[in-house]
Amino acid sequence: MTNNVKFQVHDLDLYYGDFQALKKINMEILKNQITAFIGPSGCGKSTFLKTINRMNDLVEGVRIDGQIHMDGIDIYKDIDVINLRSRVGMVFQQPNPFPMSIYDNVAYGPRIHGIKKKSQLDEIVEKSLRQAAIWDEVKDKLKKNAQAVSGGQQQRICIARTLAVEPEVILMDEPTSALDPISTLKIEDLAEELKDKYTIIIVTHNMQQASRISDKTAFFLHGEVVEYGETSQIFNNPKEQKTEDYITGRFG
Amino acid sequence: MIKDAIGKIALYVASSLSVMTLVIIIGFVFVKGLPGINFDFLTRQWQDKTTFVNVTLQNTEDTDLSDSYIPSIRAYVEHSEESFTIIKLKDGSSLEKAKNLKNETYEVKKKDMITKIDSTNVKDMSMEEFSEQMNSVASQGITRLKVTRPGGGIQPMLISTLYIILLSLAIAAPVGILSALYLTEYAKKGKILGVIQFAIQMLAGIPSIIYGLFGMLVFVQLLKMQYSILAGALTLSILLLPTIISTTSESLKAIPKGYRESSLGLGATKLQTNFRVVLPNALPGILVAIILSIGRIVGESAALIWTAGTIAQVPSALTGNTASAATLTTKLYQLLKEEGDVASACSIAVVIIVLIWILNLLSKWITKRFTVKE
Amino acid sequence: MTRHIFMQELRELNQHVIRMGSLLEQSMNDVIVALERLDADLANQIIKRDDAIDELEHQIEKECIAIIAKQQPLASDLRKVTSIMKIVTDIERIADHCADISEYIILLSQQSDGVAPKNLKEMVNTMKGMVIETIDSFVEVDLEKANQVIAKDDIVDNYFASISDELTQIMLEKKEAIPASVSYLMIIKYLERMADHATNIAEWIEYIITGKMIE
Repeated sequence: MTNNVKFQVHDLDLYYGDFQALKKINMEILKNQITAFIGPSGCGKSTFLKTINRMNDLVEGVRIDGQIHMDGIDIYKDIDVINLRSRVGMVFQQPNPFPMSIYDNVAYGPRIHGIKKKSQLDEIVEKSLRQAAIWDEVKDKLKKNAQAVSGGQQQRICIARTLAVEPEVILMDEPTSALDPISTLKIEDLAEELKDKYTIIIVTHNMQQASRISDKTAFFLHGEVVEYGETSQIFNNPKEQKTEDYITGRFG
Repeated sequence: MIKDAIGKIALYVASSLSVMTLVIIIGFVFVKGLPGINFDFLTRQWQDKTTFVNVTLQNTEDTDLSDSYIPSIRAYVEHSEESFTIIKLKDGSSLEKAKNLKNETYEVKKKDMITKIDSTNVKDMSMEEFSEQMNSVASQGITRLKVTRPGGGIQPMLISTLYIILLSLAIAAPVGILSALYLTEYAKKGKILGVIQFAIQMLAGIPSIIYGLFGMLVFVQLLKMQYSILAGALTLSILLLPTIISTTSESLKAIPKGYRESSLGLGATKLQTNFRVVLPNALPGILVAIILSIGRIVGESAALIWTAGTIAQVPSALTGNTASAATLTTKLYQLLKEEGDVASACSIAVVIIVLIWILNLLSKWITKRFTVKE
Repeated sequence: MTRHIFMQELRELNQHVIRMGSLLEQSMNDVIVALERLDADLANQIIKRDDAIDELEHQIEKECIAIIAKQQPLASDLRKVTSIMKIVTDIERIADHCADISEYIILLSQQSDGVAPKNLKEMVNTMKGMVIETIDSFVEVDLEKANQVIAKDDIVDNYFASISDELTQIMLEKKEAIPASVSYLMIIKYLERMADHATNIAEWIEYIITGKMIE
């Protein structure tokens, strides 16, 4: 059982200046599963997601107590942040491909990590785009500007860009909130497929989405994890009244 | 209703006034200046240049039906007031191999004027006399001619302006761009950053004559650069920095946060992110900043008069005596102030206006080209 | 409070279930009276009422499907809506059995030599109690009452065993009483089935409340 644990979060507190955004988070996130974080805006779910690849380091005045262990390694002490981020990739809310060609977007990560050989880059680009289920749609226009394709395609290109670095974990911060329903379902299918190889953590405002694709769900409120458990249990029979109120829409 | 009407009339009057002013100014400048613009005006030196040259003349049997052909120098000449102007050279003319007194080759060209043959002044000669004189000296071999190359062109100012543009940008662009990068991407937000930004805004508002004063005191005198293009370019660099920094900062700030996050999220360092994603995306803005800077340099006079000097020559060094150079605008200023030559000044003004117009078009084109998605 | 329309729809759904329950309660009362007096007219009324209950069942099922499609209920809402779909089926079955019993009452009213089993009245009363408690536990969201219903299933089963023994005895002793006794036997069988359905309903109510499904 312990072998399956990817992240072990222990008593994590996070402060933005005087404001405590996360309070004593304790959680185990399992390998090859999709874990969903739900909760109202400002509940800390995105903040917590960003502590996992240390994106919060970029925010001024941030202070973090407690530990997050990835495969037993303290990610705030025993690993270089650059290394961590290449192992823990991230897909953002807005599809944000760089304004360069589709090829260059996907090759960006490998290039910064020192891969220069054309044949090797070609291989990685194709493999990543295939994994992101968009190869067939873009294989004839790899030199085209990545911002010229549709939003859903852009988001899958962004996922391919993340996959090109060969991460172990993919963090998704509301990856479909800017997409139409069909594109959304495509991304969800993709997440399902990817979980065989990767550990996926997804923040979503869309509860149906969390219930559709995730194995485990954590409900955040006011910086705390109110409830964390099997998705079917959370959506069918939550233990906490606050969770119940939130997912049945009786919130606030 | 009456209020509306008054308001409308005020609007029309104000806008037609400004259009009229523009038309009058541009019209005046073009009417006065345009006739003076021709190929010679753009390519000639500003001052007449008189040189003594040694030529080896040969007597040949070569003849031409034309009276204006002088066989010994294989050239057609034309009698003008005080001299004989070469209007055409035949191939193999010895004038092409003329040497100056330092024994360097000084090619005598079309439109150069011959004013003396050895010590004989040609001023009062007729065409026949000139031809005879040339043929008679031909037998002695080497002959010394006094040749005057006519000036009246703005070529040195064009070249000096170009030099100053390149030099100023070579200093101001990297410093400005990197400062902007530091201020937007690295500097911690707080009082110090506020002070720096305030200082930059203030610098942008200072009249350029004050920069000129500073440049003269520091670069020209203290650092002993004398009136030189380097002193001028350094002064202009300082003047340009605020514009470059603020324009670049604005375009850096306009880059979506997502680009930086994505790049960092892929394991890129901050430096990699800045040079591979942030700066390339700010390029259109930076280009516009540079083009606006070029415009500013072309139009600048006050900061240059006391730093780069007003001599109409192509500078041959960065500092010192031979480095003093007038740009188009400083020359224009000097022409009006010291020589009262309105016609030439207007011709220069036309050139400046056209240059600025081209630069504006260029910056508009770049903005359009890069802001519209493909 | 958010989701006004959804809340309104849930309230209406609840009301309709309660109305179905009260119709059933009425039939149950009538069954007791009709059985005691062997009143064919009353029995006919019960049969007629069954149609109304059937119609209500269909209406509630449609409402549930509409709510699932439009509102995507989750957690307790989801349990409530899905359980109601099951509950109305059981209520409808109980009502069916009331109608079935009524047909035997009509038959009994024409069979003169019948001997009513001694404990039949107690059995019907217990059954009526179960139905009332089931409806109450649904209305009041009362876990205890639901548990009481489940416990009473055994009592009804016991009555079924003892009364069928009694009827066997009657048939052995008195040949003329056999046709009527067969009718009584059918009636208690139906009563026993009704108790099972009531137990099912009680179990769904427990699921609504606790989220745990009784295996």
